Amino acid sequence: MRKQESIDGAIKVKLLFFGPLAEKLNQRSIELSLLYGTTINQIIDRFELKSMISDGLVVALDGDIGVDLDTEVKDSSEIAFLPPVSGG
Amino acid sequence: MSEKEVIIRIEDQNLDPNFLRSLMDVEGCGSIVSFVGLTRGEDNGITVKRLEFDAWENKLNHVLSDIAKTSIEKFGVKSVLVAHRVGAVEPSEPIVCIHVGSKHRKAGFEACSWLINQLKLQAPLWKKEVRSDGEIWKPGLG
Repeated sequence: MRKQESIDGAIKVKLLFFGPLAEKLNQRSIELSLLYGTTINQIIDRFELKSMISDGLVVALDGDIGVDLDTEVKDSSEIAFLPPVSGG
Repeated sequence: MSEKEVIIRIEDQNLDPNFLRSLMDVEGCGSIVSFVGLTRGEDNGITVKRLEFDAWENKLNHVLSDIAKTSIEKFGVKSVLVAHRVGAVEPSEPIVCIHVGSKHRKAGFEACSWLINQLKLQAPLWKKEVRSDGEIWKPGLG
């Protein structure tokens, strides 16, 4: 029963990184297993991105840019980490 | 809004502003205002070899399309084309091209200026300058 709970409690999400952040992490995307109820803030802590938030890093959840960082992610969510943009 | 009133292009090869302009619906227009941004070959005396653009391509088209549609509603212009390069852009090559077709020039100028400002604020694009003294990611609005 406990083992079953453990399996049921896991979700898979995809993280996307761009520009200087992709270069810094040397990763474009990561697939990650998380527990139900994990928030974006907890992912930020895990990847040590807290300082980048104050430098203008914005997060998009399933394409919704600028989402509240206390939002819980769901199974199959796509979470994009966007450094300050510089197009044009 | 017809397909020819809003045209968005994301290109990994050279942008041709004249060709892009030919794609637009300018029926009834008395003006086309254009902005073409180029790679500068120097920055404060340092040689710039090229710019490299990273993009969130799945989202970029959507963001540019939203900006273009908003400009038509906001300024009453007839048609808008926005094209942007991704990948490496050499000095003097076009990075971005905006064309605005309108009845009168005032609305066209205003819409074109607003469009490039919004693109710089919203478009999920990141620019790296490859220079003679190294590489730097350009921060924010450039």
